[in-house]
Amino acid sequence: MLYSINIFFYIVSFLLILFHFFHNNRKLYLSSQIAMFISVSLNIVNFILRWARLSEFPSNSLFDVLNLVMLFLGVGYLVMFAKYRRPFILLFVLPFIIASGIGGFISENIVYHSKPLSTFWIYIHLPLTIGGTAFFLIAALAGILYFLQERQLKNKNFGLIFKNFPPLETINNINIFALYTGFVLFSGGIVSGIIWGLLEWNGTLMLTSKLVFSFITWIVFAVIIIVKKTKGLTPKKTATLSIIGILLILLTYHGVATFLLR
Amino acid sequence: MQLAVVGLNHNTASVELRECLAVPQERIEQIYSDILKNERIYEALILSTCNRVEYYIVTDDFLCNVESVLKIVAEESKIQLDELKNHTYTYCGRDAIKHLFKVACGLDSLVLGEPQIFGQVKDAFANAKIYGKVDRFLKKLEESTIKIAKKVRTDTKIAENPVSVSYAAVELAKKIFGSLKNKSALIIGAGEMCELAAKHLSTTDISSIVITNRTFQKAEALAKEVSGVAKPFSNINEYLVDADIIISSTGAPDYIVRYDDVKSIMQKRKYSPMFFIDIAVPRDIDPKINEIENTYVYDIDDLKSVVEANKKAREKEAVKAMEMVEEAVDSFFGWVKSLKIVPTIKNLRLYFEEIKNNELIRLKEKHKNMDETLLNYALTSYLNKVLHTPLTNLKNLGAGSEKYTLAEAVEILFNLKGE
Repeated sequence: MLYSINIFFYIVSFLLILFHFFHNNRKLYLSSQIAMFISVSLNIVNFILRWARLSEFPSNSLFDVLNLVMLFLGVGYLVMFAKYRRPFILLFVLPFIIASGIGGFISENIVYHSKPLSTFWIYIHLPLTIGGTAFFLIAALAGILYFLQERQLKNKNFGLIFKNFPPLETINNINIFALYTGFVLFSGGIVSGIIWGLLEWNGTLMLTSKLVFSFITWIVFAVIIIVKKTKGLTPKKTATLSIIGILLILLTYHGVATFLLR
Repeated sequence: MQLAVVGLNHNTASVELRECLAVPQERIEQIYSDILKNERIYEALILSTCNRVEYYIVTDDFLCNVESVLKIVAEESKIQLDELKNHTYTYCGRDAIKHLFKVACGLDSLVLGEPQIFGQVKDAFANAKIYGKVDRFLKKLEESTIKIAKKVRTDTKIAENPVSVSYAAVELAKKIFGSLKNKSALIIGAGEMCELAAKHLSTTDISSIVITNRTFQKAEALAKEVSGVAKPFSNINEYLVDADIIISSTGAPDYIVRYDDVKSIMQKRKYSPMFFIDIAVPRDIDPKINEIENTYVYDIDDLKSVVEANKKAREKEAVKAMEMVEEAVDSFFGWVKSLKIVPTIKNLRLYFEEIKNNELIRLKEKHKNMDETLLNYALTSYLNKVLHTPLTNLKNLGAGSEKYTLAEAVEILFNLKGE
C-alpha cells in the first residue's frame, strides 16, 4: 500500500513539473518539488519498514533492487537540485523513477538469491553501486538535456525548451558533477564488491560475468574522467560519453541479471 | 473628493516639449507650493520622467482645478496655455486611478513592461511627501499602486523577455554561459550599437571587456566609459583566444572574423564555448563559424527575431496585466466610494445617540431612584444591536450608484427580504 502511495506521489510530481514546463506557473513548480520531497521521504520510510519486516537488508529480489534504484535516483535529484536549483532535471529523472517503481510491482516475485545475504559487505557494496549508477544515469540525462539545449542555440530555435532549460554551461556542470559523484560511488561499490568476493571465495578472485561487466563499466567511466582531466573533453563529447557509459551499465545489469537468474 | 491627472507623454508630445516640461529637482518645491495654493486642491503628486510629466491632484472640482494646474505649468515652462493643452491628456476619477496603475506597471511605457518606471513612481510619492502634500487619499493610492505594480511583476512575465537588440544579446549570452562572472568580452567597433552592447555588458558581472576599433581613440573613449581595455585593431585573432563573447559592428566590407582562424583558436581554447554577436551590415563574422563545435553565431536578423518574439510575448502578458489593473482599480474605487458614505454613517449614529440621550434625561427626571448607569448601558447596547446591520450594509453597499425605491432601500438596509 505504502509502495503504491509512493509511486502515486512520484507520478503527481512528474505531472506537476510537466504542467509547469508548459505553463510556467510558480505554484505548480513548488508543488512538484514538495511532491518530490514527500515521495523520496516515503521511499525511505518504505525501505526501512521493509528492512524491519524482512529482518535483513532488502536486496535479494529484483523488487528490492528497483526500489533502491528509485530511492537513489530520488535522492540524487534532490542533491542536484540543492546544488543547481534546476527543477527541469525532474522531467528526465522521474520517468526512470516511475519505470523502476512499476518494474518493482511487476517483478515482485523475481528472487535473486535463495538465501538472505547477511554479510556486512552488502550494506556497502549495494548502496554504493546503485548510488553510483543513479548518478551516472543523471549524468546521462544531463547529457541529453545538453544536446537538446545546444540544438536550440545552434538552430536559433527559441521554443519552450530554450526558455525553460538551464544555460548550456550549467547543464555541462550538472553533467560533470553527476559523473564525478557517480564515479566515486561506483568505484567504492567495485572495490567493496571485490573485497567481498575475495572473502567469500577464500582469497581467490573468480572472474564472473558480473565482475567483468562491472569492471568494463568502471574502466569506461575512468577513461572519460581521466581524458577530461588531462586532455580536456568538449561538453558535447562528455555528454555523448555519459550516455554511452549508462548504456554500458544497463548492458552490465542485463548481463548480471541473466547470469544470476540462469 | 476625486483624483484627477493632467500630463503628457511620449505619445502626445515631442521630446523637445517633454524636455521643456520636465520638472527639475530644484524647482519641485516651488511648483508644489504653487499648486497647493489652490484651496480646492487637497493633495498633489508630480511624476516627471524622461518620457512623461504628470500632475496628479486630489480635488472636488476637477475641471477648474486641472485648468489652474495647467496655468502653473504653462507659466513655469513658458509655453502658451493653448499650445500646452494640445499635447496634454486629462483623466478624472476611476480613469485617473487606472492611468496611474498602468503607468506604474509599465503598461503605458514606450517599452512595454519596462521596470524602471516603478521606481520612478515610488520616488515621485516620496518627493510628494517631502515637498508636496500626501494625505489620506494619496497614501492609500500609493499603497495600492505599489501593490498592483508588484503583483503584475510577479504574476506576469511582462518584463521577462528583452526587447532591445543589445539586451537580447546579453540575455542570449547568459543562456550559454549562465553567469557572466569570469567571462570576457571582445567588442569589435566603437559605434552606437557596440556602445549600447558594451554598456549592457558592463552592468553585468562580466570580468573584462576589451574594445578594439580601427580608430584607436574611439576605442579608448568607449573603454573608459565601460571600464574596459582598448586594444589595437590589427591583432584581433590574439584577443579572440581569450574572449568568450564577441560583439562586432564595424563598417568593414568583408568578414573580420573568419572560419579558419576561429577553428584554430577553438583548438587553443580547448573548445571552450564562444558566442559571436554580429550586429554589422554587411556582416563582420563568417556565419559558417556556427558549424564549429561550441561556437554560436548570431547576426542582427537573429537578434531582431528574438526581440520581435519577445515583444509579442510582452503584449500577450499585457492583456493579463490589464485585467489585474482593472481589478485593482475596482478595489480602490470601492474604497473611494466608501469615503462618501462615512459622513452619512456618522450623522445617522449621532442622530440615534441624541434620541437615546434625550430619552435617558427624560427617564431620569421621571424616575429619580433609577440606576442611571444600568439604563444607559441597556439603551446603548440596544442601540448598537439595532444599528449594527443597517450600518454594516450601508458601509458595504451605500456608496453604490444603483437606484432603489425607499421601501427597497429599507429592506436592503435591515436585511428584511424574505422575512
